[in-house]
Amino acid sequence: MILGAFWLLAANAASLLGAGALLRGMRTGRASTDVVLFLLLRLLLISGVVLAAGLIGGLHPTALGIVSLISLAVLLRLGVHKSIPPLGRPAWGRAGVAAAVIVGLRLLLQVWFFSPHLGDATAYHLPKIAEWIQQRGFTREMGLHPHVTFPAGFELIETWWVLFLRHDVLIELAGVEFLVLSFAAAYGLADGLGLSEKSRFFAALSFVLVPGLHLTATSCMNDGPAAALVVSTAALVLLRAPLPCILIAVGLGLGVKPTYGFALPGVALLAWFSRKDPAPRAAFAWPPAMLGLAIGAFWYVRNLLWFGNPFHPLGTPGADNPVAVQFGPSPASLWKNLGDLVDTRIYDQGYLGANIDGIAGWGPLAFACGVPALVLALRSVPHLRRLTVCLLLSLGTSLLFSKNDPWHLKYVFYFPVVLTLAAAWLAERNLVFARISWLALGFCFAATVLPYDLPWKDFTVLARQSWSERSALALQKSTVEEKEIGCFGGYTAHAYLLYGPDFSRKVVYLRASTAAELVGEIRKANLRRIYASPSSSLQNEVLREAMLSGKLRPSSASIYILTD
Amino acid sequence: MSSRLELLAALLLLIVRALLRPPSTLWRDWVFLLGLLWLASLFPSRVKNLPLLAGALAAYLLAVYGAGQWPYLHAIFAGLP
Repeated sequence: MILGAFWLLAANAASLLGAGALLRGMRTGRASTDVVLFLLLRLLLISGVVLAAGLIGGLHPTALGIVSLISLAVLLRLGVHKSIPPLGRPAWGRAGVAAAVIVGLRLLLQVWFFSPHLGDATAYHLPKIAEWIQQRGFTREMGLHPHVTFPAGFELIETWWVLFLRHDVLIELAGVEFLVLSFAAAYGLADGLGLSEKSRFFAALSFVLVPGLHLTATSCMNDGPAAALVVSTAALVLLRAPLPCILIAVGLGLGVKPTYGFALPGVALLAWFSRKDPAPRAAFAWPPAMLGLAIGAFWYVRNLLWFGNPFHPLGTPGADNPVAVQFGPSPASLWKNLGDLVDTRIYDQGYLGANIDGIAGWGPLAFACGVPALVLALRSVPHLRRLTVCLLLSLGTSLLFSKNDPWHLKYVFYFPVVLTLAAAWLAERNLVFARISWLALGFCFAATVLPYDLPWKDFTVLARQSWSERSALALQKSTVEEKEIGCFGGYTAHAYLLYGPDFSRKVVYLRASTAAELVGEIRKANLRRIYASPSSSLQNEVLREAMLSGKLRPSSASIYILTD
Repeated sequence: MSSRLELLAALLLLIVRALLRPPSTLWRDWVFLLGLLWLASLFPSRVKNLPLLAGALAAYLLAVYGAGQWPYLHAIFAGLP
């Protein structure tokens, strides 16, 4: 573990210096643009390294650690560290700095004490990472959920944070990286609108404390990262960054989640509005831009080669997928989604969490302060008027492509940035409004302590475990002692939890369609126990028959033991 | 947008919203209240302190939001039903 921590430190130092070295060739001279670019370049480097290592079977801590150490030595020898600009003291005011420190420290505590627990994450985002870590490279086996083949750009960053320690204790730092990017991008947008430094800070802090976005950061879900990349792209466009710099964000965004693409029409309109302001050229930025686009395209090309459909399983006729997402535009969805947002969901009258069941998750500040402030700000800030029109278009296209289910508003976590920008603008001009905004921000802080899917009772169960054994499997009341286990089921199966936090347990996926097949597969794999979470009537029937025949009997929650 | 057109748009928003939503819920309907603020903002000579009015609306909406969200937030700490 100590060696792993050393490799982790070396790899992060190398990626930071590497991003700094790349930035030297594309620096715009505007601090807020350069910070967004720097963060994007670091994510680009990490994604590229993990992608390459995954393809050649090099996802090994020592192998990547040595490569990182050599890279670090070369970068230090080249004197990249000497060109790091000194960090200026931010003019955020004492209260602002204190608030940022408190939010940052709390995030670190959340990373440490939270463990992957959310259904979507444990069912389809994370099992593939566990397979990659165990097999030291990309695998065809990614789990049972119908969505395991979706683009996995965010999983590359999560892999980075688990690879060196071979443990998932820091996995949530991947989401935190994108939350930092959200902060920088919102700050950049505020800079582009001409807000003062204190107001830029307030807008950025308010945006990262939007409950849905904030709780996503530590939930191992990719909606927050997708939103961060939408806001980053908009910020780079508004700040007139060179085209290849913008394409880095586009590539990474498309690789993280296709829903990022839903928002692009609004960003394109913003670019069109800004076409008369000349953007500087940056020839050196084209190779990173190509790398970003390649990383984004990788998943679609892989799916095209494996399944003949870049968006597999979307658009597959007759596919048995009870959690199907919409494929293509639907005016009916737009109408329903918009109506739900405006009439009910924006009030957030439901449990806050990363999956925002039936609510918007935009929080009290964006709703209560952002909406009235926007009415006044639109009249006075022309750039905000343009940005609002563009992000409204993005909101419209995102809702046009999203199924009217309880969760679709997590695809538009980027939109509240307009409201937090307006609130920051008005707070600068009126003390009473500023005080109400700080009160609302305090409410946001309180609302982002714990997500509803990890309530206090469950959180204390996780916190009482030692860090090395911390796993949400304990919350499922399932007991597994064997080093190998079978997994039977579908989209409800929390397969990731079976691997253990240190990825030490082998998981064999069972895809039987009859009880006899199921028992046969269990025997063939020489398994003693299986985890079963049937997700269809067929799977329920298979499990029931296997138990009726006496071949399987339950041992703990969702765990079944082979009787002979 | 000319001020006359804006006035028409604000009035239209208020009328449509009043027709679409049950009258008993308009007191906490954010779109309706937003329409009122928009209308007020069209008469800056009569409404002297618009930011303060926006602040009052923000405080009111915060109370509406808080009243709706509090039971859920409380349950996360006190135990989900």
